[in-house]
Amino acid sequence: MTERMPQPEFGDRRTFLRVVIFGGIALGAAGVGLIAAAPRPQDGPDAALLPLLPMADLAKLQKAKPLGAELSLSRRDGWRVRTLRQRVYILRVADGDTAAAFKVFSAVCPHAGCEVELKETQYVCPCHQAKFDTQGEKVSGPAPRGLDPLDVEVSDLQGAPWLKVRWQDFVVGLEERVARKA
Amino acid sequence: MSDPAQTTSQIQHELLAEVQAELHRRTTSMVTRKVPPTPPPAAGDDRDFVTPLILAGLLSCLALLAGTGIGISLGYAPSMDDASASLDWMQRAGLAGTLVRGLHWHAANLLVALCGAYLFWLLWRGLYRRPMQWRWWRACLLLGLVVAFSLTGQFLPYDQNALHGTAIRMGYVAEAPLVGGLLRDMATGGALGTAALARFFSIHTLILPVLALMLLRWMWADAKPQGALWPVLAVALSVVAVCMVASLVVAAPLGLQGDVGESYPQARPEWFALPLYTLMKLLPPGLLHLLALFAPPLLGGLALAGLPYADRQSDQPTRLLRPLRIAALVGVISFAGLCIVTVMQDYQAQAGWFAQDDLEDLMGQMGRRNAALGHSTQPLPASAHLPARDTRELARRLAGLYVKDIAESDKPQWDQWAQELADKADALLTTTAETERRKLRTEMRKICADCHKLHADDEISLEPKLPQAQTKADPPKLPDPPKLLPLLDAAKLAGLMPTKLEDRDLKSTRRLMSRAKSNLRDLLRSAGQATGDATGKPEQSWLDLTEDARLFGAMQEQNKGTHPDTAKWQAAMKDLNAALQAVKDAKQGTEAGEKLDAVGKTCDACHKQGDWGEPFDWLYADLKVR
Repeated sequence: MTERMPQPEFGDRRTFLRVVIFGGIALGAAGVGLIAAAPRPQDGPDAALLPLLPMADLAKLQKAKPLGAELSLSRRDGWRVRTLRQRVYILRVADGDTAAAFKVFSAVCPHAGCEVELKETQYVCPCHQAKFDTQGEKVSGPAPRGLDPLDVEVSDLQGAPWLKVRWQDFVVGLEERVARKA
Repeated sequence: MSDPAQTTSQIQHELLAEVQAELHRRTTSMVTRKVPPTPPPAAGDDRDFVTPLILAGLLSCLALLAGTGIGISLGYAPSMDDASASLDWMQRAGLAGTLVRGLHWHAANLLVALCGAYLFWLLWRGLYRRPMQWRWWRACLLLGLVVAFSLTGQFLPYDQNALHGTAIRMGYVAEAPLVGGLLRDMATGGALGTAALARFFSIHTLILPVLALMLLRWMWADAKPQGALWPVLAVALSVVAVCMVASLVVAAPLGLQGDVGESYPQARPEWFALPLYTLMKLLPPGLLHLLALFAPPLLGGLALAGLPYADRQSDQPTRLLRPLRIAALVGVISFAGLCIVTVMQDYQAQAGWFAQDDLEDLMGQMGRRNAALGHSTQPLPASAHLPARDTRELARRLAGLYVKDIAESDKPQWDQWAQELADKADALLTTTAETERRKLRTEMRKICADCHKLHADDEISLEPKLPQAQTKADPPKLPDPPKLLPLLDAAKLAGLMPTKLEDRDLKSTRRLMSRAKSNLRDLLRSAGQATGDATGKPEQSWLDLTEDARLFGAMQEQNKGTHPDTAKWQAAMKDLNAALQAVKDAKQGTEAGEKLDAVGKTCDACHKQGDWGEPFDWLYADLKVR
């Protein structure tokens, strides 16, 4: 009645040390891979002015009637560069064809980053029902600030004047407007 | 009579005692059964401290491979457009990037070597004999697994070497009798593209590791050191150190993006497959080829697996050790010898691993990458990272590889341009902004143009053709003609012979005719004038057709009466030969096509004479149906 069952294999000190040696090699090697595959600092998004629409298309744009348009953005995806479409809204604030006559808003909602939609005379965010007027000011809902305006310029592109925009990402959820660096 | 109550309790006592005794017997027998019988000491086993050391090396390699494998898979994407680019992206991460691939590559090579050494050692010391046969079988299985790992892993980088090497290996697999084709299709999932990469990746990182883990569950016990632990630690640390140093000295190779359309004559197998490669090169295609491919792995595997039963148990004097030792030595020596043959041949011919860059080739390859980067009025294509990386690699090889008549004073400028081109291509890989990338593309082309202006007298167009030009409704252009004349001579030089005819073919006009017909059809197909794919190379069809024409004439001489009108026959043969001669002299694609047409017309003319008492059921026009 006093016979003892044989000891399990992993109980002894030598086996434990072997696990430490070979397991350590594997873990260390995986760690090297983790460092190599870690995200690394990249150049920022396209900081240049991006062509949006030719001025000829905007001549008939009326005040208080915003126009939706799309910017084409280059974004790095590891070894690839992807082209993203980013929605913006163009609002005429004065007559004429200078840059000062237009405001361009990012369609990214400053509350949680969804894309706002233009519903008659209001921008409405479909995620949490934040609402903004055509001037981009906050009307109701959870948004901490109004829609984010973008830098605008009018300059030539292949011989014709174009409305150009400098795209920026802003930190969402804050009352003050902070541009995201990269 | 005793008291019945006392009797009952007595019976109860007796029964209980019996049950306890039985329980005791059973438990002890269970425990004693659990303890394995101590194996009788094998010959020399008590002093065998080498096996645990080799096994420690094997385990260290496997640990390194598992770790780095997980690391690499964190950044690897198994698709045609991403595989090589994602590995290159990892390698750019400085020391960690160099190490993670280098360790994986060197540890894999070391693993194969250690596997071989392990088997050799077990064989040499007779350690395959019962009751140690399971350890022997595990060693054989490990070698099989390692080969499977290697076959699948070599394809994953999807560079030129990976693609062309795997295409050759899969061709060998398909040569296997009966199941070859199915086996290849199962392994690759069709063509050697993204589908095959996904499959190989899954096999390499999921299926094989699970099998390896199952095997390791037992190898762990084999590797248990008998003495102190420090030798195991020393071996483990040496393996890591050797692999680290090796990866810093020789980085894991990553060539140009795999492209079936771009030839890669430098393709050579891994070192451990070199003997097989040499055999394939030395043996004529056919049965011998097939035997050399499949007999060594199959028969060798069977022989190794059956070894424990061929010899006596280890506590009796061995029967086979001496012949086995001789066989093992012969095996190792012939392995080395077959390796040396190829290495020496390649060294003398400056081929394979010793191949030198050729400036013309390099320029052609750069030209294709330039075209892939797109026209300057267009945005860069989505997969611009591939031509950009290739251009960087090619430009690096360009430095020091000058045009023939370059002035000594121009050499530094040449090298500087090569360096600048490589740098710009590299910058294209990390730059995100579209405007910047377009600028880099223009600058790269300016470097090319500057260099060409100074050193090349050939006009180049740096801008690839716009795709709009192709949408014009141009008539379909014939592909380049089979370059008959030069190819004929080149074919003869290269040892291409007319297909040998069987005796019965030479006795029947009909057979010879049908052969000529199929050769003609193949030539038409190569020239794009008939539907379907040519079954052979145009130069081979051409050689065969000229040979047929010669035999038609000769047959008439030999077998009088094959055709009633010998004069008409001879005239027709003369026409045919003249027509064939004309194709041979054609230079342009369209011209060769037309002349090939003329060959067919002479056939038609002869057939249409129709007064030879033989029905002609074939017309040349039938061959050309589009």
